[in-house]
Amino acid sequence: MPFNRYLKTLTQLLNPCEKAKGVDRLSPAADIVDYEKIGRQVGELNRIYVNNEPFPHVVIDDFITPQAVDTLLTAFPAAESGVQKRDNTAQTDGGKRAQFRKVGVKDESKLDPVIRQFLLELNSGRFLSLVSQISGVDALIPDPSFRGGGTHQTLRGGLLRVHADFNKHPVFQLDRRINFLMYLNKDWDDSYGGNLELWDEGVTACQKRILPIAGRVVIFSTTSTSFHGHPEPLNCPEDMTRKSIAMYYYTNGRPESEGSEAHATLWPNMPGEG
Amino acid sequence: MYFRVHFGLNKCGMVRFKGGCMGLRKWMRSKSRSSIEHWSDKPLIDYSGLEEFALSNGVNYRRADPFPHIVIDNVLDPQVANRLAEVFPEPEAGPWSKREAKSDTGKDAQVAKYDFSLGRKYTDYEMGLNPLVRNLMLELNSNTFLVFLQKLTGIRPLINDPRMWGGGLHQTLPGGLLRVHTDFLKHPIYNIDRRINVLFFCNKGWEPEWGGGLELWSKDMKDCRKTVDPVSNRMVIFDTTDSSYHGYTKPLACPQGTSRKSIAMYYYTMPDSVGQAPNAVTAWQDLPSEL
Repeated sequence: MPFNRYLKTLTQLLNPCEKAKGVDRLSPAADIVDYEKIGRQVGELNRIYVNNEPFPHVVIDDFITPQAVDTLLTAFPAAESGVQKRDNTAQTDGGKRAQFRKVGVKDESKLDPVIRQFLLELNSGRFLSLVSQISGVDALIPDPSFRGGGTHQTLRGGLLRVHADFNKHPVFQLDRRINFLMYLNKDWDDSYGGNLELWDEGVTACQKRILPIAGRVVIFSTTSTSFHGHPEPLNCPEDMTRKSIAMYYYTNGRPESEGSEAHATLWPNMPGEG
Repeated sequence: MYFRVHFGLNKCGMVRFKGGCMGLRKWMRSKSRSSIEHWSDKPLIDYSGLEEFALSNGVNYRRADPFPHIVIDNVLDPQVANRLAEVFPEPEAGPWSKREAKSDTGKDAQVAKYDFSLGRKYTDYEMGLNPLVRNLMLELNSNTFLVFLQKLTGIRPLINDPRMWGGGLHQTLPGGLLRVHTDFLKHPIYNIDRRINVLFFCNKGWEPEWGGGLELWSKDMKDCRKTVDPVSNRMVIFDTTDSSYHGYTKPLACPQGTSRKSIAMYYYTMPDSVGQAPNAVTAWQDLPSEL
């Protein structure tokens, strides 16, 4: 190919808007992920991810812009709306409360088109390839049905006990490998709590607390010992909720080193509960 | 790169805006624009009648001759379909791979066919696609569409492939063809079984005499039982098996400067513990006239 034509081709490729009209820009959610910016950091993010304690994870701040947070918040389903699914019945084997005052939507057809488009973006090939680069886990498969994921929010007083996630998709029988959590909580004060806690594999002590502030993303490996939760009752004002978007990524099979029987969510005893 | 300051069209003719969806929506309302430009307010596919369609056509799909399939017209709003045909990337723009293949018997299997996919490559370049094209593919990978496919075909639970292995965008230039074949049936990265093909044609103003109709051949490869013209806004859905023979066998007679354009989406299930081992690669067939 002559160099000039190559250059033209490249330009067209990098500037898809060259021929595009307004009609092609379907959703304000389509541009939210800045692949170029994050793409430049994947090497460093991967280094942090694989070496992190207590299990492989990375925290990325300003994953999306404050404007993008606003866009998503405008479209975020209201906690009291009828589309919300609420399950406060989950209990540990010992009969303790596992989750409380937490609601969520996983049925994308019930979501605002802006949030829906964003979730479709998070399941796109380009995004999966980014998550693979950051985590080092290849051949990721998305779950368009958002099993256990989608939009989550917890009301004042609510909590999510420390747990390890279900490790097999109950419908597809795929192996759950990666959790992607994005927080959308503007003006979230330390005193409100709701920190994502990462615990050691023996569930003896919390190793890390991550405040769920707007634009912050946590990506971590999902195994039978990646214990996490926000077990302290939320202390935010009555008119606020702890909002997040949760995406889970799968592979067909997992490394033998992580090998374990298929299980539902594990709710271990906490220190002192015996 | 985005959230530029002003409202309106930039030099590329693309809407730039600031302030998130409320800003855009308010701006759209203030301009009283045509319905197509409100598309951010709803999915690209109107699903309202699709569940009923799937339930009432499931039997037709399964009983279709020569293998389970269905042809659906007017899938998208006509304005969107027209726009899609306009913004479909030209074969010289972007990382198209020219596919020229021969069958085991040395006959032309793919001629002048270009793929915008080839597995890993697709994810590297998909951001260069026109957003409308890419968003349609995201839509076809959404749960709502997968549920529709499951109800129509009875095959479940379906897994989509965001990498578009072997699929994505296809176009064939004048003189090109695609020999009758069965598809590869195993995803080489995910190791899952390919079950359903969805083809969507983006050929505005396609004349019947240009050829390029999708031919569906009988299980014994004796005769072509059905030909589906690749006209704009038409979707063909069919079971992908080791006997779903299909292709377009005659060199395309469309004029220079045009091409036969389609979007190809493949859907998978986890491998069955029972049943035959699927063939791994595309299996090109001899036509009766060639034997």
